[in-house]
Amino acid sequence: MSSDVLQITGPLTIDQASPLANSLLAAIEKNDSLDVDLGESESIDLAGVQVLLSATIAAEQRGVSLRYLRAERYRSLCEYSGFQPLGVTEP
Amino acid sequence: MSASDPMGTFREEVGELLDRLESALIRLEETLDDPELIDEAFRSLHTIKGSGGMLGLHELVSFTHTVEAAFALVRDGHEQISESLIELGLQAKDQIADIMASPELDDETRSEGDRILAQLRAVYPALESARPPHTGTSEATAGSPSIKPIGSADIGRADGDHAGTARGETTFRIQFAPKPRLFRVGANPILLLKELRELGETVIIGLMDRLPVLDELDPEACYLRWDILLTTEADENAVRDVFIFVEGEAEIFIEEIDSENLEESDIDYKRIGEILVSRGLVTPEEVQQAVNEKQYLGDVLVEKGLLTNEQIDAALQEQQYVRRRRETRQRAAAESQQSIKVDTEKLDALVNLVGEFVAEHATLSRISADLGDGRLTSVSERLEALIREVRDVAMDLHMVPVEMLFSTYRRLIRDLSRELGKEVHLELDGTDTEMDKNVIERLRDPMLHIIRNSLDHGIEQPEERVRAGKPREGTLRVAASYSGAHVLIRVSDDGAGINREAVWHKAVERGLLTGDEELEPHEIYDLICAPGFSTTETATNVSGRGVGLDVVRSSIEGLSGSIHIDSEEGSGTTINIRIPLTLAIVEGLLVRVSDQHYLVNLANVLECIDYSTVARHSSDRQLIEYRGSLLPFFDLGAYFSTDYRSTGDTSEKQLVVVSSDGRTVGLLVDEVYDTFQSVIKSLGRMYENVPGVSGAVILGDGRLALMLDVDRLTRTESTNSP
Repeated sequence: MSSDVLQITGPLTIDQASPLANSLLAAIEKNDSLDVDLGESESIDLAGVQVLLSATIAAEQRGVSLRYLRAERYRSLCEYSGFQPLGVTEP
Repeated sequence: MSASDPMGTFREEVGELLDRLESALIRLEETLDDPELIDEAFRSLHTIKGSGGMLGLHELVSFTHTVEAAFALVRDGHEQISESLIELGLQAKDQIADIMASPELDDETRSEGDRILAQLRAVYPALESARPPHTGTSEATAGSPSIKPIGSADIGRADGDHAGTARGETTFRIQFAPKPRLFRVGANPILLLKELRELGETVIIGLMDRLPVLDELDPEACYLRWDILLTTEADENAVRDVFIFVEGEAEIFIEEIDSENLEESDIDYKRIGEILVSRGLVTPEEVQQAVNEKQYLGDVLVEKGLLTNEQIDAALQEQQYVRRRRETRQRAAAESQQSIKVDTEKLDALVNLVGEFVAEHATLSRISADLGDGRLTSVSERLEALIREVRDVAMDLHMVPVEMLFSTYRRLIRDLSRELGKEVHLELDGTDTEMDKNVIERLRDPMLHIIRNSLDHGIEQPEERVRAGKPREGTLRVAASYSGAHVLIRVSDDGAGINREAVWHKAVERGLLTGDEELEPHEIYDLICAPGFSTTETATNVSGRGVGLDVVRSSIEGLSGSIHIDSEEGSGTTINIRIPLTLAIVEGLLVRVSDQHYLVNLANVLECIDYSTVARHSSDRQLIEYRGSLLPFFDLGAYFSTDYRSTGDTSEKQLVVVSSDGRTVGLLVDEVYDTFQSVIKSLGRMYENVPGVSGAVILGDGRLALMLDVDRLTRTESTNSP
């Protein structure tokens, strides 16, 4: 097992929710430590947030350490909509 | 000012809010990261914006909105507080004051506003997305996500101006559970949340108990749901309207859980079990069974698989939120019952009337004494007791803490010390000391001058201080305390102190001294208050030109106060001001000299002695032996020599022993009457500089008595003493 950095590009929105979920699931299954860089992603909606939140639950169940990096948009939308921005460790 | 003049009321309110804003910013500059001060600044701006919106002041609202948004960013932890924000906040305060002074903005004011906003945006780029709000609507929690996210941790962070307002707020619990197809039909819950925020204060709790793990997730289905607490002035229909386009796509339960109009005002609100039942999550029986297990209710229900931790947490948040709302409301109600706002002009009128009342009663008292009718005397005495009570209540109404005066100096000191390149720390003490509001108003300018002097001439440049072994930063301390019927105000600095030799030479040069005198240090310092005296050759912008401490002294004496200076060269200077608590009514001892009456402030009178019994000192000076030492005295008639006809018969004369600032003298008078309360009238410009008198009072029989300026009299006599 290994650790990896997954670079997400493109929007984190409902149109891309399926490929996003697939990429995340594949990466979680391959690694025991995973950093997901969201910094290059330009937009996010609640469907995107939902995938990212769900990924943290999947990672936790599998004992995988999952962190979202450069995740300001994700964090901001989580907070605005009343969710804890799971997976964000940066202050 | 009245309820029919909303603009006038608003101006007054904005004035107070701007003072509060400035005070918070100046204190913030010292602490840099005090959340309460940041919140105070935010709330002041927020209230100005909200009230301005209701009056349709678009320029004001638009400007204040962006400034407020900057403080919101800091308050919500998205940005750090910075010195730039404080500086721009202060500039914004001045700008708002300018807008209020003239709502029709000229080009200069408008471009100044643009400059401030541009600089704010440069410091906090996130402000670019801070849209100006629509005026006339509640903006309590509006804003884009980047400006004011409210997360689950935001519970109960009530905006002060929303909490407890009198417009009938209701708190709703909204349970919003979208069906899985919600995203697919193009609905965006974020917009719904935003609309709810625009209705009032919200606590938004996102629930993800239905969210599956990634492998089982349909990425296009909606699994998220929300519990929302909304406190709003809107009614339930308006809340329902928010969801009008998603009614078929979600389960929506809206319930009123708290209202200002509820008779039940118990702060405790519901127990957790009751909240869970009212949410339809468990039955009363299940709660009862869980309670019987004598463990924490939430743990039991989660353990039994009846509820999730999230659902328990949401119920707890509701309980805390409603409790806090109720507490705030009760506090506001209590405050509104305990205090009302009264126009100061009305208060002034009341105090003046009470003063007239007191003076009129003196006439009644005199007539009743002349008539010798026991019944009239009895009524007069009862009336006197009542008048004293009314006087005390009226005076109390007129008292305000000196904080009102002192806090205005923070900004001045900050700006002046920068202008002068000095580092100055301000310490305030005794700010809750109360004085007559009119006295405080009249102290404003003299105090300002003293503080400017301390900054300009007292506290040295940082490098100079370091060379002298002092900390770079100078300290200016302004303190107030009670002393009987007086307040002592002390302005002290740890600056260079006063060079007595320089003062001496300057006084000789100015012809104030011949050069042969031997003066005590305090007498030398007193010279600084002599007209036209100044030891610095070049006037600065700070202390002004041509106006010296003589003006300050005459202002203070005009308030029946006194001023004296202590200083130690190299260590600092202290200016002591002693001022009566009130000017409106003075209790004095009425005396007669020849056919003229005088009133001596009772606070200065130590005792009255029968002159025939005192032992004159053998020297030819006017001295008597008094309590083991020599006391100077003088004949008031000779002092006010106009038309004085001494009877030569001293057997009836009285010696009134008075004291001021530690100086004691005797005043020889022909007769001492009773104590007398009166309103002091100004002498008018023609007589205001007559030494030894500070005002006039009207006696019961309509004649005039002069109020003695005891401070000046004791000073004169001690200067003439050996």
